[in-house]
Amino acid sequence: MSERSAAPPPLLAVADVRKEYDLGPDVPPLRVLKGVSLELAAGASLGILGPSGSGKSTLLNIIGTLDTPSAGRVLFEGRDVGEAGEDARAEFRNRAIGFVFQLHHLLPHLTCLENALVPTLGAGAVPRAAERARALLARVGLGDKLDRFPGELSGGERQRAAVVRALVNKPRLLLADEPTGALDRESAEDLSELLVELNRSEGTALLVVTHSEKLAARMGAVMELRDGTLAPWKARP
Amino acid sequence: MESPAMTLGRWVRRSLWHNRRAHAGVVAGVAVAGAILIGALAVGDSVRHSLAKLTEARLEGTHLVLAPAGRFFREDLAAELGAKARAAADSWLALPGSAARADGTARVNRVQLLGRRGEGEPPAGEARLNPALLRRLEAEDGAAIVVRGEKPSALQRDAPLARDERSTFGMRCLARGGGTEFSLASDQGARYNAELALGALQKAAELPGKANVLTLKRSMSVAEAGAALRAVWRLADAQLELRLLPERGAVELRSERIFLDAPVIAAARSAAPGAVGILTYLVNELRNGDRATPYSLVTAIGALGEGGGELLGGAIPADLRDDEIVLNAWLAEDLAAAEGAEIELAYFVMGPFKTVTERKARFRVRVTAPLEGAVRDATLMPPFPGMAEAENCKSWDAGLPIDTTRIRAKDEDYWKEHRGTPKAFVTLRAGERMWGNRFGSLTAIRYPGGAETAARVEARVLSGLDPESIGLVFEDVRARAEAGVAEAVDFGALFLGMSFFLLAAALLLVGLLFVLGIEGRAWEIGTLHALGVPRATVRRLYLAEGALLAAAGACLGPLGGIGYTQAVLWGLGHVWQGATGLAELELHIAPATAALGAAASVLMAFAALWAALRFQAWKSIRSLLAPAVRVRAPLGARRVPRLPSFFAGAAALVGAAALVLSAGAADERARAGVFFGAGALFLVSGIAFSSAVLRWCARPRGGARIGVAALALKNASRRRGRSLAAAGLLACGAFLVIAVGANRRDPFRNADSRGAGTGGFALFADATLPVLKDLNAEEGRRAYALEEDDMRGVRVVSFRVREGDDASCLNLARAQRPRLFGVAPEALAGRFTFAATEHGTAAPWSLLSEGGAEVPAIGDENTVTWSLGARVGATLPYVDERGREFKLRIVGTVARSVLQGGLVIAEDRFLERFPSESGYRLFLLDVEGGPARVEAVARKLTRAMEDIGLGVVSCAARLAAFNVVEHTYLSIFQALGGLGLVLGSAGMGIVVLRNVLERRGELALLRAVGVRERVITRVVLWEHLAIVVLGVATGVLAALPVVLPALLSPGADVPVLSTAATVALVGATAGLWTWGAAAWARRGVVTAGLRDE
Repeated sequence: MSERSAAPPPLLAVADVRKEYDLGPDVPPLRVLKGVSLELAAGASLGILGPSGSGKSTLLNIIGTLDTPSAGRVLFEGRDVGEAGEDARAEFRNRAIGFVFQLHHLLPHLTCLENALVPTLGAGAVPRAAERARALLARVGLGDKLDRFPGELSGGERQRAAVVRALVNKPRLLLADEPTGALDRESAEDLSELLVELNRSEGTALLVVTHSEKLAARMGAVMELRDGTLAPWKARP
Repeated sequence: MESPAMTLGRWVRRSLWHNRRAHAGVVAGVAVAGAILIGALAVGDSVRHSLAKLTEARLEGTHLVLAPAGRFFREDLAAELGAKARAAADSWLALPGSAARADGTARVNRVQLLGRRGEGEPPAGEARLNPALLRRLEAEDGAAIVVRGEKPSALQRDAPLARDERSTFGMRCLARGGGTEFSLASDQGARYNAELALGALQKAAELPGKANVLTLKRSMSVAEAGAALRAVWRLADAQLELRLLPERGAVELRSERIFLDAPVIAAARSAAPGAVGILTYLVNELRNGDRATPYSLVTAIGALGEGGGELLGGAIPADLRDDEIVLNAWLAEDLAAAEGAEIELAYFVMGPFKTVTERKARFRVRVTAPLEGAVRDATLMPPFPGMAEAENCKSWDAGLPIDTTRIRAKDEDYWKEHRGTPKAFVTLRAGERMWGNRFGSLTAIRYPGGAETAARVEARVLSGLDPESIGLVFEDVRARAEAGVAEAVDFGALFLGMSFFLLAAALLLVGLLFVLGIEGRAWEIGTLHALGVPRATVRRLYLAEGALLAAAGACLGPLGGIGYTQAVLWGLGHVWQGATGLAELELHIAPATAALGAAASVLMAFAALWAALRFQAWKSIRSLLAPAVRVRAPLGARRVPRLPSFFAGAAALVGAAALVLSAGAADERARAGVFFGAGALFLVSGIAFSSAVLRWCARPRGGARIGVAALALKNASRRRGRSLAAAGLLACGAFLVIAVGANRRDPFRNADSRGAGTGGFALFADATLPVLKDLNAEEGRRAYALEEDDMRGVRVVSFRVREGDDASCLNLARAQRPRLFGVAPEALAGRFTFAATEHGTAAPWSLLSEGGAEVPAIGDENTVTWSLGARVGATLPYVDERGREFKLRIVGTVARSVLQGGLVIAEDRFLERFPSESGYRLFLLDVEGGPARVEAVARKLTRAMEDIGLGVVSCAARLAAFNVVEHTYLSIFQALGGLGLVLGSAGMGIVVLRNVLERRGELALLRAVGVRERVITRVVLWEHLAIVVLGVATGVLAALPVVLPALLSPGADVPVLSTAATVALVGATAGLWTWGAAAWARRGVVTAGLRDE
């Protein structure tokens, strides 16, 4: 499935991905994903809706190489990311994708700017990354809070800082797992706006899994994960 | 603003500051580990330093020493030698003695009476006592004391014609402090010195101008010092004297020691032409048929060189045969013996214990010599100590049994008129055959001539005689002492070993605390992984953080180390004094030790952190990111059968049982290993069964009700690995505490068995001065005024003693030259239990009688193994009293015996090597009768032989003194191990915290559904107490097979109470930590958990 027009090869192609959990000899395995396929073009955005336990986060973790599928393949720019080793997968996560979690996971001992720069950790001084982090933080309204620690930021601000952190290495794909799930309504709307805007301005493809129909609706395409399979979303009247 | 680059350093800095509270525990843990490590090593440093200081104090800057046994040289030799060798040199007169308060309230044996010329010499009438003696006498400055000693005899006490009577002296003086610690004994035990004015001591001991110890205070070789000695020494230093006999036209070389040593004879026989050897001896009787002359001096005389001089002015025919005798006219008349008559000559020869045997020899009268001229020569009799000054024959004290009733008036008249003028003459060869002995075979050598000859003889003897050959041997005491200290018991390693549990517990705590901190930040790691930060970088971040924490802790380590060391040193100086025998231990930490300890603690802490972090790295990123407890079935609850644990347990149990059964065939040393191995297998088996029990607890059960205990047990089985680790630690601790405790032995149990460490002997006695007579014989007992009743049922085995380093466990320094005990091997037949022998034999003591160049020796197993670092079959270099090297070969070892501290060799081999060692100074006594009789004998002997400084203890008590050291080590091990276990049980608290933290959601749920806090606490408490009980019970049960044989063995003294108390303390501490952690978890964590959920 691709947004607007298909442009081979797609940035992301998920082909018949399945995920099962073995619960023991006498218990049938728990099938979370039962053959999920999707495609996402560069710069496109996709929202995936689904109830709790439908496997949304599992799918996102598999795409983000945080988890491995029981069957099926995940192709990024035509390459099977699942076949790569741990270091290559880390490199892939670091360079090609960005993660935004439901909880911001900002590191409490680092300032806002330092948190944004965590993906550059171990790469030494990267002046352009720092400029970019500053610029992005200014763009999300945190330009005057660069030296603040997470504990000194509001929930919305923390989540915005987390978004900047996800974008600092200019990823081609941004994966967001319930990004507004822990925010109040106003902050959630601000963040939704921000994600959409960054998708457009940065040209970063965006895949959001969420409960929020409102957030999903702002994406270029919306699908629904139900009973382990993916289907086009039909807005309720 | 800082550079925004996100570097490792920045991360670590920020993280350290942010998590400072959590890290404080880790730093403290590392500091404790560092303190233990540095402290243990510093104990070693301190003991070594204290030993070195003691050594320095007792050597007083001495490098080389000349201390010939039983010999005296000129006091001035030191100054002359010092000038020659360009070294500070001192002459000492050192005599064994005793000191007592003048009021008789305190008395100390084994006191070294010292006199030394110099600035520090006390004035006459004062005795400067060293602190130990002052303390023992409880004497204040100025208190009146009496020191007693024996007037040494130049003629060895057990030489023929040496007098029996001991001549002692007493000096009343005022006690002063500040006496020297000078001593040549290398052990660290208390030594008692009384320093007196040299002149006064010489006068009292009748040794004017004499000394017997010479110290050189410059580093030089023994050969260098020997060369200097050869350059300056005089005949008097070899106790030789040249006297002019103008009326005989001769020069005579003689010795204060009466008999001329063989090397002296060798050097002197060709010192001048015409040398004539003389050996004068007291014979019991000269008989011609029914006529007899009692107690007469007879001289053996003969030319020593080719074409020897005329014998007694020609009175003795040059061709006198060995079976011919020349009588003087007085004797010829008394015996009515004409030329050709057969004379029977009866004389005594000296055996062991100065036992005398009368022997007879027959001679034919060759000629009768008129009692005039050279024949009428009283100087032919050497100055026998009990005869030379005697007024009459009846007052002779010749050291031989003389029947004074046989002495006639005419004999007295002869003595009065002619003194020791010999009544008969035989050839030198005949004389040597009859009277030659280990002290020498001549009493004088005469050369024709005068002063010129004397000068020539002196020069020739001094140049031809090697001082070493007569015992004037220098020894590098400093090198020996330093080697002893360098190879001393390594208390650093010992305490490291004994602090093992403490150290392991501290490191365990470090790991647990670090993991606890990291687990609290697991999501951090997950986030970093999710953001694509390479795992290696993530690991580096946390390891760098850990390394800095370890370094911070290690910086504090030395401070804690000082405290730990001081605590241990206090213990060693007080409650554990048995381990070192040192009352004053000085804190000393070498910088290298502190650095090494700190570096090692950093490394070990770092390793613990690395292991903890590695465990985190195994976890999936998802689990790291999930903040709450994951819902999962406990591993093994359904899938894994519990049979493997059960079978593993059963297999270990069978193995352990097999080991126990095989123990009967193993020797004693192997048996300890077998039982320990069996115990370890029992431990493994117990832990495996515990695993099975936990699996069993986890199984699903029917029923509509769940109780606190059931829930707690189910919980304990959830993190089975963690629960088993905690239980295993406690089990190991309990096992060790019990197993170590079981190694204590009671020397009093079974002590009268001949195979015991006492050899079945009841009493052990050692004397300051040698005992010359056989205490088993009536004569010997009479010599010490011991009545027949006093000694009824008492049998004595006597040992000759060559002083050396104490090679018992009471001496911390490595014995370089152990004491030697000479004994008749048959006297010990069937005694003691042999741990090992060179050849299998039913009579191991007979191995001592084997011939060969190497001298066979048997020693206590501990002495040989630990104090000498040797084993059966090994050879040890030794030097005899003439400076000749020889080898001792260890042919056997006896187990745990009173013979600790030296090596036993055969008496005849002893005398070959140390002919000057007089008498016996060590005794083992069999006493028939019960303890009261044994005590009475001990009391009687101590009193009767007070003058020779006899100390008597029961053999069991002596064995106990050795056991004190071992027991003290065990106590230290138990104390430190117990402390480690207490610290380790704190780890139990951390395990509780970790469990609770992990499950805070569940606990919060319990509260949410209305379960009371008290009940929640009980669930947590029971769960962890179950682990404590499982651990302690496993340890105790596993230790039983180790304890049982020890309990049943002779002499076992298992301290049941203290062991049980230690185990109970460990259990209680673990319980307390558990309770505290559970209570804290209930209050803090559960509330937080509720919020999270």
